[in-house]
Amino acid sequence: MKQHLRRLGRPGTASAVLLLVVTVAAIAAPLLAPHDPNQGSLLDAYGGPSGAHLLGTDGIGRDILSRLVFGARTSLLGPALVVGVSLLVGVPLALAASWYGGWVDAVVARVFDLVYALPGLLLAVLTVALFGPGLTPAVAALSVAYVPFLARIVRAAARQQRVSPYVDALAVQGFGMLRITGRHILRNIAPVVVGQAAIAFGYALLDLASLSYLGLAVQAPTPDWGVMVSDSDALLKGYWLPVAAPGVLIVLTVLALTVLGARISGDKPPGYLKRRRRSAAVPDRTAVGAAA
Amino acid sequence: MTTVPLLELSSLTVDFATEDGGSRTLLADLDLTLAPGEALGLVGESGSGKSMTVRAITRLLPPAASAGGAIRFEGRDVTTMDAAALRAYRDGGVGLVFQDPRAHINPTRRIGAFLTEALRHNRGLGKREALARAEAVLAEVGIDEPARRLRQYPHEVSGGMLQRVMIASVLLAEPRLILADEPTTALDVTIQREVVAILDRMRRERGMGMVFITHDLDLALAVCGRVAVMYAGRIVEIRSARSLHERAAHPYTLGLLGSRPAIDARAQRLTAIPGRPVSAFEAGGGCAFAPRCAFATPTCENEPPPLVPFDGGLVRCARVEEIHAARTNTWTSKEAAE
Amino acid sequence: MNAVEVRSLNKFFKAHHAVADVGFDIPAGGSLGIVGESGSGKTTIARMLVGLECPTSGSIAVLGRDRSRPARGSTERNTRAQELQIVFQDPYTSLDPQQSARSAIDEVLRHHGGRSAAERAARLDELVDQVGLTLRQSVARPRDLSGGQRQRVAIARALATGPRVLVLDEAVSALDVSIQAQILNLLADIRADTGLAYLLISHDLAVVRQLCDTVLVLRRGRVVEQGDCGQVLDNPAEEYTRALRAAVPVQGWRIAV
Repeated sequence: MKQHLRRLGRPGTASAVLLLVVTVAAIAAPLLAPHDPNQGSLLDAYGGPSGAHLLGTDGIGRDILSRLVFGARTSLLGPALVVGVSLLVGVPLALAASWYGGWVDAVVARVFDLVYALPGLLLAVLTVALFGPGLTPAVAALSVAYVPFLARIVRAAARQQRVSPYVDALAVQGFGMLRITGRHILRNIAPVVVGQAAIAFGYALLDLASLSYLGLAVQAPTPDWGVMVSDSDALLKGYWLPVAAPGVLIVLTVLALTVLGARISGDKPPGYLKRRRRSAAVPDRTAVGAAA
Repeated sequence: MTTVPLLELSSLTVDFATEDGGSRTLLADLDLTLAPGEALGLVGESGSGKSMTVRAITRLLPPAASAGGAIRFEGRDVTTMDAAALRAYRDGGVGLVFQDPRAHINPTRRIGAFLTEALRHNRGLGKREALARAEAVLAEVGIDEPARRLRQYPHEVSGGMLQRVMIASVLLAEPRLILADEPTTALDVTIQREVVAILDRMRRERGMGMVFITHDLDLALAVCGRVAVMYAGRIVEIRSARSLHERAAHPYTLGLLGSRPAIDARAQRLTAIPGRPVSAFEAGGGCAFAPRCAFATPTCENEPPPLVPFDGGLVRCARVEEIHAARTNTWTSKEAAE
Repeated sequence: MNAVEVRSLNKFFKAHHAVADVGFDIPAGGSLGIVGESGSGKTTIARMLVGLECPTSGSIAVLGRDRSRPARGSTERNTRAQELQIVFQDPYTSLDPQQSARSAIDEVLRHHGGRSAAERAARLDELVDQVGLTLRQSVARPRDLSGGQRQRVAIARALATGPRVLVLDEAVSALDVSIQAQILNLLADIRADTGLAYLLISHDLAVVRQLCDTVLVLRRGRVVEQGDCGQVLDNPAEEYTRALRAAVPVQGWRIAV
C-alpha cells in the first residue's frame, strides 16, 4: 500500500482522496445529505450559508449541499457508463488489431482515426436532436466518441507487448490469441488502460456537464452539477454560490481524474519499467564447493 | 622514472544517492596510474564499476552520483577543474569511444558535419580545412571513399563503419588519452578485429594512452599491455597481460579464465563461478568475492583484503600466497605424474 | 529418425533473400550449432523452426512431422509445442514481467494437461530444481531476478512442455561470463540427463564448440560450411570460416590485420 502511495506521489494521493470522497458521497447520498435535494421553501430562497444550510440555498430554497451530494450520483453515473461502454468496445478491438497486425490493424486504426476526428460534443448534440434530450442518448453518443480515445492508447501499448519475446515464447508454447492477449498482454498494459480510463472519465464528466448545462442531457430538476451550473437566474440576481459550488466541484473532480490517470499510466509501460535495473532481492543458490 | 603519469586515480570512490535518501557505493578506493602511451584494460562483469570509472574520469557521472578521491590528468586535478578547463580537457585531453556509436551520433546530421563540428567551433577551423582533415582521418581509419562518406547520414552506413567514424572523431581532437568503453561489444567478431586493430595502430602511431573497457578478458589481454580485473567496484588484480594470462593469481581472475569456453578444445566442464556478480554496495564487510570463492575462509568474509604486490602485479586476496603455493604444488605433482 | 530435418529452406523478406537454400539434420539427442554474424539469417532460421515465421519454400520436419506451414488449430499447435521449444537471447524481455517462474511453468503444465494436480506440482518442483532455482527465486517476479536466474526460468519454462528439441537462440550471449559458464554447464547437464536435441544459434565459436557436436557456418543466408564441430573449427575448409576463427581473440593474437 505504502509503495502504491509513493508511486502516486502527493498530487496523486490527494486526487485519489478527493475522488474517494466524491464517490462515497454519491453512494451514500441519502445518508449524508442533510436535506431533501428537491424540496425547498421559497421562504428560504437564496439563503446564504447558515447552520441549517452550510452552502446556503438556491432560488427555490433547495439546500445546495444536498443537491451537490445527490448531484454526484448523476454526474458520476454518466461518465462511468461512457467509459465502461467505450472500454468494452475499444479494448477488444485494440487487442485484436495489435495481435493480428496487417490489414486488420490498418482497418481498425483508420476507423479509430475517423471517429477520433469527430468532436464528441457535436455527435452528442446531433444524437439529442434526433432522439430528444436526456442522459441516455448523450451517454450513447459520447460512448462511441470515446472509443478511439481509449483504444488508440491501448493499441499502442499492446503493440509494444506484442513484439516482446515473452509473447513469442507463449505462442511457441501453444497458447492461443485469446489467452495471450487476455491474460498476459492485458495484464501488462493494465496501468495504461486504467490511467487512460481515468482521464477519459474526467473528460466525459466535463462533456456531460456541458450538455446538461445546455439542457441536452440531464434535465432539471434532477440534481446534477452541470444542471446546477446552468442556474443563470442566480447569477443574474447576484448570487454566485449556487453556481460556483458545483462549478468548483466539476473542475476539482476532472483535475483529480487527470492527475491520477497520468500517475497511474505513467510514461513507462510496465515491463520496460525496470528492464535494465539489476535487482538484488533474491540471492542465488550459493554452493561454493562447486567451484573448486 | 620521474615522468608525470598521464592519468592517475587515487582513492577514487563513486557513491550513488538512492531515491529513498540512502547511498550506494559503486566504486571504492580505486587507485590506478596510466603512463603516456600505455594501453590498460579494465575488465569486469556487471556491477564491477568499470563503466562508472570512465564516467568518473570524464566527469560525466549521472546527477545522483558523486565522486570522491582524486583524478589527475597530466598532474592536474580533474575533479576541481572549472568549466573552461574541463572543456579543454574533454576537447583535447581525453577522447571517448562508446559501445553504441548509433546512440552517440546525431542521426539527422551528415557524418561530415558530425566530424567537423568540434574542429570548427572549438578550434576555429574553416569549413574547407576541417572537411579536409576529417577526410584524411577517415582514410587513416581505413574507410574507403572518405569524401563520399562525409556526405552520408549515419543510417546509411553499417555499425562497424560508424564505429570507425566515432574513432575518427576522437582522433580529430588529437587527445592524449582514449577511453574506449566496450567499443566492439555491439559488433560482429570480424568487424571487432578490424576496429580493435585500428584503435591499436592509432594508439601506437600517435603515442596516446588508452583505457580499454571490456567484459571480455581474452580481448583485453590481446589489446592491452596491462590489465586490471575489477569486481564489485574494486580492482582485485592488476598485472601485465602476459603474466595475467599465464599466472593469474586472484581466484576471481582464475574463475573468469576458467569460465570462458576455449575455441580450440571442448572442456569437459567449465569451471563456473557459483552465484552471480555483485555491485560494491551489495558486498558484505569482508572480501566482496568471498561468497563465490572456493578458497574463502571465515576471515575472508569479515576482513576486507588490501591490494598487495604479488608476483609482479597487485592482488587483492588474503590467501593469495597459500593458493599460489597449492596450485604450484598440484602442477608439479601433475607434471611428475606425467 | 532425425529430430530435425530441414531441406532447401528459403525465406524472402520482400526482395531480401534472408535464408537461401539451407538444409541440415539434427539426429535425436544431437546438437547442432548455427554460427553466423549479424544478417546471416541464423535467427530467421530459428524463428521458422518454432513457427514464428513461415518459410517461403523448403521443408522443416521435427520428429518426422512437417511444420513448414502454419499450424491449423490448437491441437496441432500444442503437438508442435510438445516437440520443440525455444529459449531467447534477452532474459529481460522473454519473461512475462507479471509472472513468477512457478506460475509461468504451471501455466504451461496446465495447458498441456494430462496430469493431476499432485503430478503437476511434482513436475513443477522437478523443473525448478533441474534448472537450479531456489524456492525463493521460483516465486519471485522476474524483475527481482538477475539475468542468469531469469535465463534459468526461461529454460525451465521451455522444458515444461516436454520437448525433444530445444532451440537456443543466442541464449547465453547476453550473460556475464561467469554466469554464461553456469548456464552452459546446466545445458550440458540437461542434455546428458534427458537426451534432448539442441539447436544453438550463436555468433560465438567457443560457445558452439563447448555445446555442439556439429556446426553450420552461415553467411548472408547461405551455408558456407557444415560438419563435425571440431573438424570445421580446427581445419576450416572455407576462407570465411578461417576469418571467423581468426577473429576470436586468444593469447598472442596478432591484431594487425
